[in-house]
Amino acid sequence: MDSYKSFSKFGVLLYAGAAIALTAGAAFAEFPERSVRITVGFGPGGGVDTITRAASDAISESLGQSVVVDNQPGAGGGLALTALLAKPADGYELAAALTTTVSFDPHTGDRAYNIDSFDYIGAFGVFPEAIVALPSKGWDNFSDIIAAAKESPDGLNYASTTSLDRVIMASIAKKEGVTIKPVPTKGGAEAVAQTLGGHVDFAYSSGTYYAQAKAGDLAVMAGLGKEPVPGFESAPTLASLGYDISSVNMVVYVAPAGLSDEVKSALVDAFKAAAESETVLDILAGRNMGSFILTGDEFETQIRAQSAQFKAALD
Amino acid sequence: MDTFLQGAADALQFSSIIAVIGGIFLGYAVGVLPGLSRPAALSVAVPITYAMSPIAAIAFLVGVTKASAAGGATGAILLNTPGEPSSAATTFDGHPLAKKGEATRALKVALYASVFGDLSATIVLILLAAPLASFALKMGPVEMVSVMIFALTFIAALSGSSLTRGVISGVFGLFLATIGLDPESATPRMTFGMIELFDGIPLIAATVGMLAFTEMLVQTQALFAERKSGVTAARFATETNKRLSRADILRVFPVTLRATGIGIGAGILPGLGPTIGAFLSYAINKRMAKPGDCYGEGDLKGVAATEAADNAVLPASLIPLFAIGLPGSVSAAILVSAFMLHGVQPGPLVFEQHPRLIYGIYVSMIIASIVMLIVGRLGLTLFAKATRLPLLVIIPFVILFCVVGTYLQRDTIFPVLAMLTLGAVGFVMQRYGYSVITFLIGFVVGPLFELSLRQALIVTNHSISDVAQHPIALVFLAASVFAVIFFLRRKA
Repeated sequence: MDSYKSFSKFGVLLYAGAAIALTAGAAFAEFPERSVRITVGFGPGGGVDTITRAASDAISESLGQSVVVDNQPGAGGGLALTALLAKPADGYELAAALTTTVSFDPHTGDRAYNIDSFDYIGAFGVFPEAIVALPSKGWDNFSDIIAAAKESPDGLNYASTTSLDRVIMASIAKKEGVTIKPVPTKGGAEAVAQTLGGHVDFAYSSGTYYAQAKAGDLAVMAGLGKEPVPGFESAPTLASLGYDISSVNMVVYVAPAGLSDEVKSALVDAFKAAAESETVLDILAGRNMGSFILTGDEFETQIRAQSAQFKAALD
Repeated sequence: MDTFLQGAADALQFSSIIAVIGGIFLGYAVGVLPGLSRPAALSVAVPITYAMSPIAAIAFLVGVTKASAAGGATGAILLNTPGEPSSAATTFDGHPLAKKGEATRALKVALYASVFGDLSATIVLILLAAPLASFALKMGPVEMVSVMIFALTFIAALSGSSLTRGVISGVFGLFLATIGLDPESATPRMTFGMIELFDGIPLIAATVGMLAFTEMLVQTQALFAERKSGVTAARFATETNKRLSRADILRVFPVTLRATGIGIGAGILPGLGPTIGAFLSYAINKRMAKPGDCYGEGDLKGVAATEAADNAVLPASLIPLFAIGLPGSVSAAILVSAFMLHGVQPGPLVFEQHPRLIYGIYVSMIIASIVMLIVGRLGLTLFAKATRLPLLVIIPFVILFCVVGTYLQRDTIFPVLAMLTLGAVGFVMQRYGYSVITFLIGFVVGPLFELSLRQALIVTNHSISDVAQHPIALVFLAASVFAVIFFLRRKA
């Protein structure tokens, strides 16, 4: 037994030595030793899934290991993030969701995770979130909507798709002293259809509106992000209209908190390379999501700031 | 014309045809096997299409959806276990027909009605997409609530022997449908802190559990009773007549036509979907029965009424997608992502920007109908033999498929546990004469009904008199009142 022990110690030493010798320069290349799994918090075929699968080839090339993509849809990405909590922080288990799944949803209660539960690897693309209305309404931009709301005795209503847009709109309505009633919908397609059919006054949409707006059937009243909506640069953003709230929603990749520095930097580098690959850029362009990327610490700083902003808006 | 020919040539390429055939086979298999259903098949199929050309990818997915609708009747007729929830109403007449020894005839009617409904709706899609889509946009929250009230009054006619018990199970279904996030405030309701319940009880768990698993429990019980008593009753009468006569076809055709119309209507309206479309068509056709029809006891008309409607829904649900770029159903939403994946943004300009692709899709949809007819006709002879399989073989396989099918969609165990629980609940309900069908109707309609009602209340500022400004809604509400009076007078 003793001899076995010493032999195995010797073996470890030898192995470590060899590993150091082989990987001098590319530090700690022993991660990953097996395939990495990314659990997508949305169903197959959706934006998050499409982008993740497109990126997985490039990620796997940088890591030198295969990348397995799974889907675990539910609770707006929250189910996959909850499941991730129970997984080891070894870098082999990641999840894909949206910025707001992490920065907004936990503030609304009943989530097992919060902003501190994860290590932040990378974030791709920005959804071209906007407020849209029928051109026949004669509104030029969002300030006309507010003016119309001030004149209407019952206020205005709008097709809403997420609880985040309700929080944003409520804070604007409060500031302006107007009534804006959200009409809940199942998602972007329904919100756009309700607007086109004239059943609601205007709509919030995270991207479905884009083709309709390009065709001139809908007019962009304001963008919700920090930058103007690509392709509709003449429309203002909420920030440029003087509102102190914005929404930058991206596809985010997170790991359970507590990754070792080496593992984290290997993953961050792989995601950075993937975000710059042509396949990923093409898919982002096709979905009008621009080419904006955030990785590692930069990503963590931004998502934490956003989380704090939403928490303040909800209080 | 040139672009049309180019599109047709794309659709007739070897790779596209293979994709259609592959999709039809996968869809048919999923449709025939109880427990495996369309959402599960699509979650497997979508990632496969990432490597295909746009036309092949879309043709493949169209093949899967079309064939799973057509194949769903097989289990309904032979095993009393619909392969898809949209074929649940096919059990009403299909299974009694099989017991009478008319399995092959029922399967044939199901197949021909499916293909007829599918092909007609595809042609309507090609010719009338633009005007029908602008009609669909007129359907706002107020109109949708009235359509659903109309549908629910008709469907009440399906409660079986006892109206009271039927209504009780329907309300129970509506109640379970309220579990999950509140649509307006996003507050969790009755989730008991379980994040798995945020999106409600998975639909697939309810349909597979209550339709397939419950039936397997019933059959197991029958098997034990048989063992105990030692008397083995023949499950099926021997088949003597397998042919459809000219008279049969003439008798069933008007029903098929009406069912197709109802299916197209249900497809255009966002959210109703194939299950409600098929139930509504069955209920309406049953109401309009002629003397000599025996709906519920094994009438070919009953099979045609559900299957034609079920299959007409999918092509019709693509109308809002192709005309204005908005998906009208879950299947259509999956096609949207297939478009986007290949850099095609569905929208009002898709016809101007990608006419060749759209024509190609139209041609491959028609090819899919034809392939479906051939595959279905060949499979039919084989499937009809399933009546000779002993229950001891069927039951374990169906239960296995139930478990795999519910696991596949979300890759978690939760839907499987929900399926098993609801299956047991369904068994108890059936045992005491509470219809699982009205339960499922309540469960399926519930979320949409709630959402539309709450939308309508906000849009009208909570004033009921506002409904007077919605002529389409008034028509449906008047029709509902008429239906209730008609229904009560018939009963009395």
